[in-house]
Amino acid sequence: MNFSELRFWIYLTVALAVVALIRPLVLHASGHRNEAASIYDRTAILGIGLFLLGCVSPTTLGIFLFVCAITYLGLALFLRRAGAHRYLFLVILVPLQLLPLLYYKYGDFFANGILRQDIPGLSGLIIPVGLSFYTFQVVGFVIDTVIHKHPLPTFLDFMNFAGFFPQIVAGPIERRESLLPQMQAFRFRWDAAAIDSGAPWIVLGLFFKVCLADNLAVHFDPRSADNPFSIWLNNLIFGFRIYYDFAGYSFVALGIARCFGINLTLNFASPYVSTNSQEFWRRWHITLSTWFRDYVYLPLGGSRTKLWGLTILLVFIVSGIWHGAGWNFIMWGALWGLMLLGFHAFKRLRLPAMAGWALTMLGAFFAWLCFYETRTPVLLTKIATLLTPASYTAENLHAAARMLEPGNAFVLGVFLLLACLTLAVEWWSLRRFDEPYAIFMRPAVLCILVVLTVLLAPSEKNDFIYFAF
Amino acid sequence: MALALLAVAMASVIAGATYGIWWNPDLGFWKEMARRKFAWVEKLHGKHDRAIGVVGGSTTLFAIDAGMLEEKYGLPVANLGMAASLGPDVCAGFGFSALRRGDFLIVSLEPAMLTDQTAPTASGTQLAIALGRPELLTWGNGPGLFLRLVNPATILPGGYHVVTLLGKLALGQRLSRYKLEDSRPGGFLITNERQPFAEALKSGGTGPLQLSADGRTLLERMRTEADARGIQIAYVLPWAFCPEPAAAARRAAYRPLLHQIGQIMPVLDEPQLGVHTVLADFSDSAQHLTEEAARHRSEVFAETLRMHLDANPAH
Repeated sequence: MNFSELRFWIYLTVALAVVALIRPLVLHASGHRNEAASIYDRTAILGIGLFLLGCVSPTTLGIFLFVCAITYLGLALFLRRAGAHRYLFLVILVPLQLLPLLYYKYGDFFANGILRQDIPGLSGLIIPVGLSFYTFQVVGFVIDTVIHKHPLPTFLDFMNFAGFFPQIVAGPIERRESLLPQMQAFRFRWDAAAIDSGAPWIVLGLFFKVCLADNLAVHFDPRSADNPFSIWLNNLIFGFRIYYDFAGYSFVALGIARCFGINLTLNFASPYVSTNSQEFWRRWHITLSTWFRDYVYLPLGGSRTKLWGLTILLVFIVSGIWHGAGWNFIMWGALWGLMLLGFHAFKRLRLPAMAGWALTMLGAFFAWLCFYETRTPVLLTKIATLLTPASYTAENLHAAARMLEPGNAFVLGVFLLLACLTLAVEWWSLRRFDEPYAIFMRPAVLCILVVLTVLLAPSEKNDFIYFAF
Repeated sequence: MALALLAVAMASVIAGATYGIWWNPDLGFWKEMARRKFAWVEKLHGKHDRAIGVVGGSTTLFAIDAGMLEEKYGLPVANLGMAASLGPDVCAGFGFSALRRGDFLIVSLEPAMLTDQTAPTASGTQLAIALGRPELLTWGNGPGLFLRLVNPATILPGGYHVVTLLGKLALGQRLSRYKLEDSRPGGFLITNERQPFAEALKSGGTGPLQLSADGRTLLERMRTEADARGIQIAYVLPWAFCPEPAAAARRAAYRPLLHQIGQIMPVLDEPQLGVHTVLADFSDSAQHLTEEAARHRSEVFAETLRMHLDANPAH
């Protein structure tokens, strides 16, 4: 379900055409009853989601259905019988929900990497697309339903909540109170205003993904471990790429959902204009941050406990583990946890905004190294290189420059410039309108983005980075 | 709003595809090179009872002086090498588009084209359309033309091309890297460009090379198609630069690859095993020989070819 592939749009168009053709027949057969139309529409949108997921791979679809079945059946069973033992029920059901995620994502790391069991079946497993995202969404659903004593929705509505196709594979991770009521009221309507409000987000998302992220991805070459300039350049390329890639995906998801009359949560709010690490995490992957806040940080005591610092560190380490099984992700999470603690410790200093921004970006782009370099010994060498002042020599600078062919260097320079220009527009938009993407929503700007996306789309196909999570 | 954006997108696709296929100066160069190569093969067919076409990327293009081979040794060779950026399937397609029953197709695709994952490229599709030769894409039951055209990315120029084009225009540089005046009879190309490239080669190591799934499929498809058309086929490693200290390791890396290729089609044995250690013999890349070095390479190739032809006379 790659929004930047034409195949996705063809499948979606065909599926919608089939749904539209059958709809009048169903309505006619049911005597044009409103309830029948509602059931048909909700069944059809679920059918489209399952069809598109099945197009990714039958395994992907099978595991999604397994997680949904475990969640719904478990919830139905325990809501009837658990009574006062609601919390005990959570302790049983949540691990069951996490089982496929633990197996596919962490089985190899724990069994073979840490316990050294050498189980060949666990190595090289491909994580089914979207597993981390919909698992967290349904875990949140279960916790909300049990803690807040919400009623169990119908199976159809639950499936639509868990499997709404624009957001199933890479979020945003939606909450019961925001998405479920919308899915319960879902109807297929030709709503020009809804389409007009969704299209700009689709255009912006495709511009981010196709024009910026994919063109930068071509130049990402993390081979050098002893040249700090090469490492910093790759950190920069990766940092820009992952933002434009993931935010691009989220915006397209948001735009498609709006075309269907569904409002999803804005998952990014220009994180690279943040002037401190706390602000960064309020702007980056917002729905994951709030998920960890509500389901991990606050239950552990939040800011009220004396072990607050340790809680922060733990939450960020768990967040790192969510991104992948490997010491590098744990280091990435721990590094961010420390940066956040550092911010709280020194926030009374009240740095000028520019200095705060520079420090935050230095930390963020340094941390990206721990995100993309999965080989622990190489990662440690690279960190040592970056932290060794003596390695910042003129000779290394020239060597880093020579690694790039002149043509490639020029193209990379242009796309880095375009990426920076886009950030500048976000910053200006935030300053002027208090909305990071407001300027991009203007018709003239959208037309420019369309032209740039079409003409600058690279020939090479690139999947969305977060499909791997 | 949505409709207006869709209209802008469609207009951009049409403009981009029109430029990509008909006005792109880089593609114009390759189009004319292709025409000259096809014309040379026609001439060989008129003069000799068989033609020998060598297909590959630019490593072949800058290495086989086919005109000299015909003139000096009477070998009816055509250099059908193009650019690796066209994709291995299109580079291979030049052989099937130009040759006929009884001819000899020598595959000299760069090892990277056979050991890496490969995908059809936009410039390959654009060139096939521009030349009016869809068989460059569809030979041997390859993916249909429709499947390629349905993806706009395959008919658009691409970000790299657009940016470099704008850069060249801004700096007043030549729009195509190579010049048609530098092409020689038989499809051979020379260049006076000199660029440092040895630094870029230092960081990459070479372990034993194996055919990728894509590479194996391509070679098997070529073998099947050649058999079906009654065309003799064989593989020879193209020459590329390798620093002397790494030469033995590079040759050792190529041996398992050649063994795998040998299970699909005959391999022409050359003692160099595609490794050439004289930096001065290369022009603007580690794959492009200078004119003088190409003559030497062509003579080695003539000897290799003669031995193979003596041992395997045409059916």
